[in-house]
Amino acid sequence: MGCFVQMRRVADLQRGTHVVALAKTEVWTFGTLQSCAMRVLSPSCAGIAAKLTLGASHLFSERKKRLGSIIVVALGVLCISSPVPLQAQGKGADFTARDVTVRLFESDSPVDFSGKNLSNLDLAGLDFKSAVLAKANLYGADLSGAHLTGCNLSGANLDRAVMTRTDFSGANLSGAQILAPSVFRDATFQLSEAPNFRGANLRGARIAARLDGADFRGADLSEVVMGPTIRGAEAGLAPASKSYSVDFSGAKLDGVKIKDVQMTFSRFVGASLVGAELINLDLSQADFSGADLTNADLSGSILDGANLSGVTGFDTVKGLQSVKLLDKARR
Amino acid sequence: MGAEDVSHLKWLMTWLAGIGVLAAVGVWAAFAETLQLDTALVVSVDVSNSVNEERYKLQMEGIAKALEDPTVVQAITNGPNGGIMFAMVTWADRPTMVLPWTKISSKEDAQAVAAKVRMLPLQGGEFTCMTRMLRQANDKIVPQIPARVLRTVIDVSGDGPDNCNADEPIDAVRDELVANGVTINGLPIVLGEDEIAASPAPAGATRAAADDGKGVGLEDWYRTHVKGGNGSFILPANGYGDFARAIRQKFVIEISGRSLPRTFAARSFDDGAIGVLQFVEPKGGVAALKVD
Repeated sequence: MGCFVQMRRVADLQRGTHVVALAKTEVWTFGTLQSCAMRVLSPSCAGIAAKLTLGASHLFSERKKRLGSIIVVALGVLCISSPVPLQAQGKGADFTARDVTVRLFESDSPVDFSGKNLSNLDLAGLDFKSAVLAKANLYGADLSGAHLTGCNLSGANLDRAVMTRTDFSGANLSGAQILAPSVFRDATFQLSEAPNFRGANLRGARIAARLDGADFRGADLSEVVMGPTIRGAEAGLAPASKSYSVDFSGAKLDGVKIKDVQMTFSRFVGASLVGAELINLDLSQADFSGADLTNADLSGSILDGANLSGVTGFDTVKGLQSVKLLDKARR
Repeated sequence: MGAEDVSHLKWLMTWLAGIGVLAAVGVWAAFAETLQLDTALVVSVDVSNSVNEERYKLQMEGIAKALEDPTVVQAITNGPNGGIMFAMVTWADRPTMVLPWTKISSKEDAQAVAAKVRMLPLQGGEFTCMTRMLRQANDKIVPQIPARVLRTVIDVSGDGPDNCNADEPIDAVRDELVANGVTINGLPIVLGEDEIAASPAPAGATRAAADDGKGVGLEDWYRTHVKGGNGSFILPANGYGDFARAIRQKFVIEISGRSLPRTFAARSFDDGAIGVLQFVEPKGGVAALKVD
């Protein structure tokens, strides 16, 4: 809607004798105009819209303002009169949800959306068929029930995305950012609604999310930073500081940094946690059986009722003196 | 032009003709490979707060019986391509695709789908978010029809207008669907006073909102905001008890691809008389379409 209002302003400026005023705000105007035109036109026409706005911009710089104005007004009218509501298509996105659906459905090979802006789009339930989404912007996108199995999401932005029952199994999420996503439909936090990261590569990803019941079995979470204290995240928010019953069985968590998160009943069975920093975590009733905790740091964590049977490298664990209720753990 | 040039030209023309033939064969092969069917039909069913278990079962049973009906099966198998794609969506707060695209090209196919319809559990909700359902149909369901079809039809049935405060007008989404070649037909379930009284509060309230001060009933609301596209029509059901009759007649018309006159005299139907559909011709005369 903001874009719509801005375009109205452009059109208003064009009416009458305000062309000079338009020229003064050239950069803002053409940027707005181009993004609006590209969004209301189909992707195949978006290039034309971009060239037209660029041409109009050149005409202005060459003092051929009348012709430039005609092009600007024509594009402005197109944007304003478009029956397609801009907001519904995902503010600022490079595609509409329909475009994404069509591309995915019609392609036999993985579709390349790398670096594309897919923010705020409703992509729920779509099968991404191993699409390439490297460095894609999926901010606020609804991915509930979507199949992102085997997709390349390296470096992607998944902040505030909706991830109810999203399947990321086998996906490459290395270096991705997942801050404050919506995972549960309501405050009952049904574990069955959690996303599936089984076998995914999350190496170096940054996560601040409530992920109760999420499946990370066999995933690579090496060097992942998880918790509410990530720079730039909404630090201290309660939803980001709880993740009950997360399953990390068989996962690789070497060098992972998790801080200030309640992770009761989580499972680390057979997981590799070499050099992991598990600081100030509530790990009550967590299952570490068969896990490798060599050089891990458990400073300030609670291990009430945790299962530590068969843990290797426990004698090298740091911060044991500050671990709470260690005596209640099963070894 | 020397003899050598002529020879070269002939050689070139022969090659071009060869490439043309190969391209034509390729296009034909690709075309032939794609499944060809007559109609892609999306049946969308309101499962909002006003739809209790009994009303839901009436709707599901009505749809299942319609699919098993010999006239409907005949309409399906007698089309130019002898089959349809069928999908089903239920919608309240959010739309849910409860039955993915399924090919029906025989009596057995139709019976199998009918059996699935009967087994679908009620996934209800509070509100009547019809705009969201149409948005999903436009963005997700219609673009994923796994066949080449002659027409795409969305059946919308419900007992109230949209009450969801959608972030876009329903007319805009409807127009987008129409622009994408989709026909949207409406089956408003017009409740009698006793049915309204038996409905939970929102149903009565939304029904009242549809009528509020404008003399516009649910049927007209559907006509204004839902109906759209080539040959589209509204066929109301007089309460849930009449749903089975209405959906059966609707299927026959939609699947057979008959174009209906502009004014459709649905009110003239005699409940239970399934044999003949009557409608008013555009010029005022009454015609009959025999469906049995």
